Amino acid sequence: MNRFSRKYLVRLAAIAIFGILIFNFVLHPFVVQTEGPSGGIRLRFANMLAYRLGEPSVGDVVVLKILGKESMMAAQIIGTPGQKIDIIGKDLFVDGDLYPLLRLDVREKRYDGRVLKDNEVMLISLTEPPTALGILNMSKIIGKLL
Amino acid sequence: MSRKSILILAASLGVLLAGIVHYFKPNDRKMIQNNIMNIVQLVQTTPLPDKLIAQTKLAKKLLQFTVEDLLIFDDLRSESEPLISEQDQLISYLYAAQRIVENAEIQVKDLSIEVHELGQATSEFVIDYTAHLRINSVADGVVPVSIKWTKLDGEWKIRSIRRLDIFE
Repeated sequence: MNRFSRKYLVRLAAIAIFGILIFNFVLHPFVVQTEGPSGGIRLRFANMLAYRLGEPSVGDVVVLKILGKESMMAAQIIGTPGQKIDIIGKDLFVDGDLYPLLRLDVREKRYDGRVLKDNEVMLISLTEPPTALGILNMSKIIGKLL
Repeated sequence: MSRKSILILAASLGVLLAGIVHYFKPNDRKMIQNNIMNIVQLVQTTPLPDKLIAQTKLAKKLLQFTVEDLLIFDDLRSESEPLISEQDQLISYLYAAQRIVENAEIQVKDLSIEVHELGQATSEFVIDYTAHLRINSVADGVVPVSIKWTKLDGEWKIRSIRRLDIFE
């Protein structure tokens, strides 16, 4: 093996290792499919370090795992640790404020003054109108969608 | 060809043959996986029927995958607007879904099958679906489900289905 091809192989290996590290520990690929005239399939990434280095915020769109490695979904945070969640009838309240344009999920969850713990967030779907999904343990979140 | 070479060749062929037989021999996991795929095939390949008789025929086809006590679709048939949201059993869910869904594309993801003792098994997977509704709109989503199976007369039948919820 000559010196040139050896150098080339070392670079290739370095790029491969860098790629494996990036896509396993920093950026997780996520395919977003949208409907409508301007819809389509787009590749986006979830920042896996977002909630290791920072706190979740209301409005963040996150990617979460559902069962195994293959199935993931995106959802939006509407409640962060310390906030109070109530579902009264068909209405959802965060810290006493009615959350607009929301239809409750088929699972018909009931929260009565439920305060979110340090590792919990309240999520809604990205559909129109949004659906209340429920309270999720942060360990299920892969990362914040970029 | 030496005797040693012949022995090595025969042993290799034996291992290869055993591998092929093992691969193609139906086992419990494969039978359950086939059942799941057959159900998906039944529901998604053609538009779901909008006529009551055709709906009943499809429901009966699906019943071959279940034990008899899931036979509850007659109750649903009598309702003008069945609530699919409150059904967690396959037949009732699908029977009611036929009323509002015209066509569906379904993908099964993260399938795991665990075979227990005494002819019992559990499978868990995620249904990634796009449903084309009869009211000219599209709904899509992902639903994790768990199915409990029972082996009856050598065939795996669905005993119960429940939706898994990752949210509290």
